[in-house]
Amino acid sequence: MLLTYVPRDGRLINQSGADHGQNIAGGIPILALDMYEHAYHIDFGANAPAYVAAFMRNIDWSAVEGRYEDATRVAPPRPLEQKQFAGVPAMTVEEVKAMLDSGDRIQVIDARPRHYTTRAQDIVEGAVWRDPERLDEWIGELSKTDPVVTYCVYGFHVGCETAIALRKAGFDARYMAGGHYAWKAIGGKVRLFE
Amino acid sequence: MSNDQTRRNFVGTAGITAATVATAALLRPASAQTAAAAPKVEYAIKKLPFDPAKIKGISEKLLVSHYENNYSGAVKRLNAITAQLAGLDVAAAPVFVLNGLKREELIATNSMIIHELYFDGLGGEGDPKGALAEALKKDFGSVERWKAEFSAVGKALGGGSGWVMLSYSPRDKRLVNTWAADHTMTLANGRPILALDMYEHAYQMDYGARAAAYVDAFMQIIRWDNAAALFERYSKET
Repeated sequence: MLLTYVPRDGRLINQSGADHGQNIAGGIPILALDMYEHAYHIDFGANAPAYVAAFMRNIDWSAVEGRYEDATRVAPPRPLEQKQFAGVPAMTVEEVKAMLDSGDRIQVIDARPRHYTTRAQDIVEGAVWRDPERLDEWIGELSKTDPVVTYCVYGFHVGCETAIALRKAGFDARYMAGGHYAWKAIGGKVRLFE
Repeated sequence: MSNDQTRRNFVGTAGITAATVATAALLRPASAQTAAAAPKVEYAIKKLPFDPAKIKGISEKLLVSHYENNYSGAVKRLNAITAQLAGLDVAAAPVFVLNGLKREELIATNSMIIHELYFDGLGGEGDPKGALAEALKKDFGSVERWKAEFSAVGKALGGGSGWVMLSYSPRDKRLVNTWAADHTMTLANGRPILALDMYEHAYQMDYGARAAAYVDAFMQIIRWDNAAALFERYSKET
């Protein structure tokens, strides 16, 4: 039984291990209770609860606190850097949904690649599909005064690239992080893709 | 809550909590000792860090299935498990219930964490450079020797399931390759910087039983920038 600090989430967790190999990935153990029988059987026999009670009475909390202080200085894992997309403003699916629900003027562009749309079944309610490879053909339809939100299948490369191109052309464009899949994951409304 | 606040609370209340529990133990049966319910924790599903159509050697179909079913499934399961545990009277619960929930919690937590590391490590090419390459030379003899061991351990897991991880061990200030037969097995106090998924869901759809071909493909498409950035931070911990 381990009390472990998890830098990823900045929190403590009690974690049980059935053998020496089981640990939280990236976790930092700060207190360990050995539940192998070799730890208590000679003294306590099968009375494991009495051993646990004795252990709990005997914890050196000052040592645990010291380890906790050290553990909290460990930074969470660095997020993956994607320099090519740095600085492109993103919106969450919840933010886009709230804007659509409240009737804000917003132009939502489904920029899923053409090859993908041959088998797409649905599209975000309130969005229109435009071929991301043929931006020149449809950029003239957009209004420069209302914000534009682009997205693709997973809300990443294609949606981002389209937003970058639109921003260069002077539009207030952002991409919707997570894309079509994230939209569906929050139960966002879709309609048949025709 | 900042780390500073967390630390203050921890230090400030540890003694009081121990005293309170000791007094309560005299007054109430063991089964009634459960403290206030644990706060609700909600883990979020992270987005895929690459365009799955552009990963060489692993199909979009497989990667999407991996992301949606195995990774996203783990995060959803973890949230369900965490919610159950938070509402459980842990002192009164049968041991098989508690054992089961804690085991599943660890499986789902690590499945989430290690899958994120696996996805972050896909979509690059070439060999490691800079400080990480130097560290691999120091700890394994050469980058080639590291590569040989890492991929051989992966191939040895073929037909079963598990992970191979490259982890930094702050205890010994060195890099190690670790073997895992399932999500729960990682180096204690280790900092994983690269993960190779050897569960069959990671390759069967594309490679069938040819696990070795999958491992060879993986070794060609490692996004070393991510491992190097993680290593840089971990190796500077004091």
